[in-house]
Amino acid sequence: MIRIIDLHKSFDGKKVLNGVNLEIVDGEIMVIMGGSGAGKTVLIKHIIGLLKPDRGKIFVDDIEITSLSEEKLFKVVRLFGMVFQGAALFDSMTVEENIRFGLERLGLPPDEIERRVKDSLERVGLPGIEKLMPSQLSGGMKKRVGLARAIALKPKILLYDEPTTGVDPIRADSINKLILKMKDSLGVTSVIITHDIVSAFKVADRIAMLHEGKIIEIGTPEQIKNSSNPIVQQFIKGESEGPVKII
Amino acid sequence: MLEIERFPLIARFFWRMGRGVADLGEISILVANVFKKIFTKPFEKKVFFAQLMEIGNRSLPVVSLTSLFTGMVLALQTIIGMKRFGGEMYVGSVVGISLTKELIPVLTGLMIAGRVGSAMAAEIGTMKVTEQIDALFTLGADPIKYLVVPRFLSAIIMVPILTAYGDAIGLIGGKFVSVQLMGINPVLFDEFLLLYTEWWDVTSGLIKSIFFGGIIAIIGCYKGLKTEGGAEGVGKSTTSAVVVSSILILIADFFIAKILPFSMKR
Repeated sequence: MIRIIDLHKSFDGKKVLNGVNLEIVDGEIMVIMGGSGAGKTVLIKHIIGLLKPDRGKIFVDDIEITSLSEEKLFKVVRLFGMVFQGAALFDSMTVEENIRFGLERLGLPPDEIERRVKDSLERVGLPGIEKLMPSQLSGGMKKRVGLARAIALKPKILLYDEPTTGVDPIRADSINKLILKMKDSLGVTSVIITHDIVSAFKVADRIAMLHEGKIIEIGTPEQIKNSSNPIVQQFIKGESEGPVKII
Repeated sequence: MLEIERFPLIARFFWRMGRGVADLGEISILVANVFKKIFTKPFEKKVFFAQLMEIGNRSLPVVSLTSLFTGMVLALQTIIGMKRFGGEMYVGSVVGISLTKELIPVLTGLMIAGRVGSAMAAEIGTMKVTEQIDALFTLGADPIKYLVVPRFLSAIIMVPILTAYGDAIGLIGGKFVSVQLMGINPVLFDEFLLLYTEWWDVTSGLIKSIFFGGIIAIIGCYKGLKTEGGAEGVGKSTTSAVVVSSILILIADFFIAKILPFSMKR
């Protein structure tokens, strides 16, 4: 369970998060939707402890993470796996070395590491690419290797930063299926931030809409579709005319 | 973002001063963090040895050439100058002291700042803008411990070693020009070199180079970690790492020479 309470964050005097309140229950897929610059990435980076808030609290399984010391934070981070927008694979390492990286730090025996590398690549549908370098992979493959690297650690919570951005609709759908598969087969809690409406409605158990640093609506995909909030409606219909003005 | 360019000159001046002070504070925190984390486990052996190779072995050609020609031109100019009052036989001592105490440590520092400091800023900067540093953290690796500590240790070990090597190459170059081109008696060259160049001269140069190594690694890593804004940001960080570390090397050179008591010893 993740509880976010009154989270505030500013950069150079510009408010990015302006009192975010959100609860994510175990095992669900929570999609956080919002336009560009709404603060989605900043929010997800707070959940994993990459950023410290100006004000507010985040509880992960009843551990308040914003006030943890560095050493303790590294222990909590082990609960998470994160899939980055651009995959963030280490480009000086092979696919295998990328996946091994986190596993070696867990102090696992070599045969277990070997097994997990193979298993996680199979789970994302890319067996046998261990020796390739990230530069030899396509955008979609990179994202899947990023996912393999995250699930190899057997996290309780998976965070996805724009998992379908930058891949074609067919590959985006295969990523959606992977996200659902990870939930079903591993039972992980998933937090996905995206502005891809199709993907959001396909995978979400619940959707939260982030706008100007606040959660303005939260509910099941059905509830969001029928929301009376004009900002939500403008967003899901993808209209440039409406309460949100594009300058 | 504040658009600082729209403000009057005086405001911009104070803004930049403020930024400078903030940078200094952040660099101090980074240094303190690095020292704290040198002694905590795990030690990143693989990165450390890779950096030793990168800073050490791969810098040999540039340090060799710089030292050789510096030694050669110094001997040449010293002999030409000192001939005017018949002191050219002292060339060995002049070359020995100037090279080991000042020229080789500083020039090696500057060359390594250009070659290695820039590479550190570019590599870490690229990792920063592509979220690889965030990825390190999420995979349980402390970015300071994984990236900065091995680079810092490698630099403070390798820069003095390269300087000692540069001292030797510089002296060989100096002696070659003195003896082969300018007709100085080789025995006299060695005699005056050993008579007037003290161990303190060599040691103080090497101690300085430890600091230079530290400056190169810390500034290179700091600029990398502070990189923002894609390819342009990486370019800016790289340039800035070289400029700032070069200036700091020159400033530190003076103050270390002044502070180190034995470097003042005659």
